[in-house]
Amino acid sequence: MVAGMLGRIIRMELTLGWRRRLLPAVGIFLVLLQVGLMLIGTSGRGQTDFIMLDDTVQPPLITRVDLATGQEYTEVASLEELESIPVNLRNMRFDVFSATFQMVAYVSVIFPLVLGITLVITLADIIPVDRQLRVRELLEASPLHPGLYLLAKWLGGWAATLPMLIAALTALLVTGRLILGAYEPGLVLLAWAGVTVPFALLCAGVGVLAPAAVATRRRAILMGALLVPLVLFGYVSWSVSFWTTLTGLWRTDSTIALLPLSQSAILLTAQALLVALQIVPLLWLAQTAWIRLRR
Amino acid sequence: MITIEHLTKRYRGGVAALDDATLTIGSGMFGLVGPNGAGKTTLMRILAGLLRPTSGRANVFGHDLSTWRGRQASKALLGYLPQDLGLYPNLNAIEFLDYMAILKGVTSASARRSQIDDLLQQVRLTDVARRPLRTYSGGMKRRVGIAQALLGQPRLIIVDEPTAGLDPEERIRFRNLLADASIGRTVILSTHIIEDISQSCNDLAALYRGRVIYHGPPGALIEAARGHVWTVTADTRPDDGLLVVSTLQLARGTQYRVVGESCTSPGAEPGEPSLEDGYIWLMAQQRESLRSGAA
Repeated sequence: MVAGMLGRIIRMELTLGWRRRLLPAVGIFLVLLQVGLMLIGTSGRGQTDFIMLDDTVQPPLITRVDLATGQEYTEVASLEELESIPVNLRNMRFDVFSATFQMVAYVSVIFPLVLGITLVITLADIIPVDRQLRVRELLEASPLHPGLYLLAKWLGGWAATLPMLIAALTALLVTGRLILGAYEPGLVLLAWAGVTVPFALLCAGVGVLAPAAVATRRRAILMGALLVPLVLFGYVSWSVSFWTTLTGLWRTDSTIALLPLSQSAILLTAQALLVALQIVPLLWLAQTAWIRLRR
Repeated sequence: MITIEHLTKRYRGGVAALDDATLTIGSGMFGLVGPNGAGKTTLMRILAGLLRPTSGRANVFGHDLSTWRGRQASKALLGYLPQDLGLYPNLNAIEFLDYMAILKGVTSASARRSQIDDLLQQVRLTDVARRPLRTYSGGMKRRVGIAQALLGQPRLIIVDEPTAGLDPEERIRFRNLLADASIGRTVILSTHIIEDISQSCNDLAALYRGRVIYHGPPGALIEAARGHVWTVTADTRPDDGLLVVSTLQLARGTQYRVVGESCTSPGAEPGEPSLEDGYIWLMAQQRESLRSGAA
């Protein structure tokens, strides 16, 4: 019964969130920002004819592309070429790696950065607005447990952001394919599911629950704005580049290919996020106890 | 059965909104009257489990309201319409009622649908049920409010000033709806409109400065005013401590309906007391006893 009630309240929160029109606006902003950044990011990039160095065969072969015709050709790699290409960039297509790396960076770096700023502020008034609309008294007079109410508000707020995250991801996947060419979609989706979505859950939790006891919408939004630096500090600590730098994976001299290396970094980030998500249940417990104490 | 024993509620600053109130409320329509600040809303908010009393006990159908568990259990039996009703402006009536039904624990979708359809018909909102609530007039919002209070077959219905702002026809319809709902249930109706009480309640209590100054049937309150009501036709307003209940301009002068200890005005004729007269007489006596006590 509790699960059914929770599910229906989340669905209602989803409806309310989207009818407030703020979240669709944030979604459109996110899509435009992603596409815009991608266009800016690729406009000044110099083109290279290098495609792949295969040193698993003897003699090692290098594949290049004719930039004028787009035709690929393979020849024996010279000693200079062998020395100039790092070991972890060999035996894989450089154009695919480059596009995938850029896509993963957009999904796991730019996405969370924008979410950290926008979600915490836009969801901050989700509970105080009930008080301002004077619906809170009706809700408090119902047998709904305050813990369930807060949980539903958090998950409902997060669920309301999912359509805009999906829309932004879809726009990014399509634009990326058109602008950057082929990439590994599995890694991009892994970054989205492992980093962006849990980070949105964390931002929604902090944004919804931290200002739950605040009396007015204005104060709640102000509190949300004050929480943004904290969330962004966390974002830096949980970012993919942080973990790759910390573990020294970029500087490895081993023959680990870079794409699986990106996967390790994404999974490390996801693990760190899961640990950080424990803040939300703590906030939830504190706010539930506070409401019970006051009633 | 609802029992209230020596209930006192003091707000910050020591203001006593309720002062040693004791009442027993059975099934049927129960009226609560009193001037502004008498403690009616405080009493109803305590019975709705929204406020905790400073001292004393309240018990709703065997559930002790001094405990969290008791308040939660009594909320499951409650239908509540606050004086200051708030609704979600972006939802329509069906969505709002569906949400409230979920919160009241009506988990079956078909049961919710059937109850909502019935109630919308009873409050005559079926035709506009899919319009956003922000487009509703004040009267229509009150009707949505009473519909949500009746959801989930509550055993106790608490309505605070439900007919304020309604036109006479709507008020009568509303009153009848509550009277019908009171069969086999308890309805506590707080109002300033004595007419609503006289037409629908078989038991009433009057509060004055947080104290219960009358509890009994409306008939006894009417009888208490017998011999204290007069009709006086004169050119000037009668004085000597009389309270003017109504003024009517006639061709032969102005006709005053007055309530007081005695009337010495020439041509004063004893009048048949109404519940309004009884209420005015009761309040006048209270003020007088306070004055003499102070002196």
